[in-house]
Amino acid sequence: MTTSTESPSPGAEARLIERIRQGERELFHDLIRPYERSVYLAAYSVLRNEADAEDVAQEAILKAMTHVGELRADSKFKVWLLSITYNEAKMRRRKDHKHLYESVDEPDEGGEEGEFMPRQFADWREIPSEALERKEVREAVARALEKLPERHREIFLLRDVQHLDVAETAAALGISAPAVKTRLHRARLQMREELAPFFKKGWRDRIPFGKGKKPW
Amino acid sequence: MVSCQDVLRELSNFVDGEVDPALRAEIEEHLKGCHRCSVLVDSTHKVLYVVGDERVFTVPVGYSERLHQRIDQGLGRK
Repeated sequence: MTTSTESPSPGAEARLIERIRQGERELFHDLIRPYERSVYLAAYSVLRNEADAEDVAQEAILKAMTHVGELRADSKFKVWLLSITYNEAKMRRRKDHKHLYESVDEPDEGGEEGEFMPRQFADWREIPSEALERKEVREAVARALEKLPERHREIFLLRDVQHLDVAETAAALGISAPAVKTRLHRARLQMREELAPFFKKGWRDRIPFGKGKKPW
Repeated sequence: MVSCQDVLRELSNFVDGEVDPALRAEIEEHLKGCHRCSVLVDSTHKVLYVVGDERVFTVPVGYSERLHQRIDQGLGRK
């Protein structure tokens, strides 16, 4: 697959959106490509079932396509898109009345089944020796995320996986910036607790920065 | 002087670079002499580094293809 998942520059994206508004609707394929993965992850973080997540991801993206003309000039497409996705996913969950989903206010029981991402699926390009190593990492991260309460998980995904800033995360979820920060703090502490034992088993040397030289 | 509790409380802001310079300097000073807090900060950075690569998450095989087919249908194509 040769599709780009790099985020375009804001200017390029704005021009793309303008062209779509002007009638070149097939360009929506290009607009959505960098975000399609994020949309799936957002939907999955709420629904935790890959078939439902994919279905909701498609619905959210089609909705965005229909309404892209209504996107305000000062809104960021990604934030708007993820906001639609969360709304769709939560509506779907409500509609389905699935008792197996956790309450928003209660920590997940966690543990037994249903990892955050299904293991048998793979859609990435890496050299095989690294892929094996990555599989370990993926599974550990998936297990750790699965244990987070939903309201922490969604914040963690938006901030630390999808790199939205605090204001954007707040906007996408319709909550306040202080709430984002509080939940993020707890989420990070819990993720660290879950994943720290992993570091002892040799990640230390594989991560390409040393103390004091962080990539951010 | 900041305590270990202070570091814990500010951890998230600290890794985001969102503490004011004076507090940041105090925390950094504390980290030099506190192994526990230094491990705490270091391992938090590592977690963020690892999850920050979106490839660590997988999507269903064929997801992208199916999605773009749906978009085509939405655009009125087959």
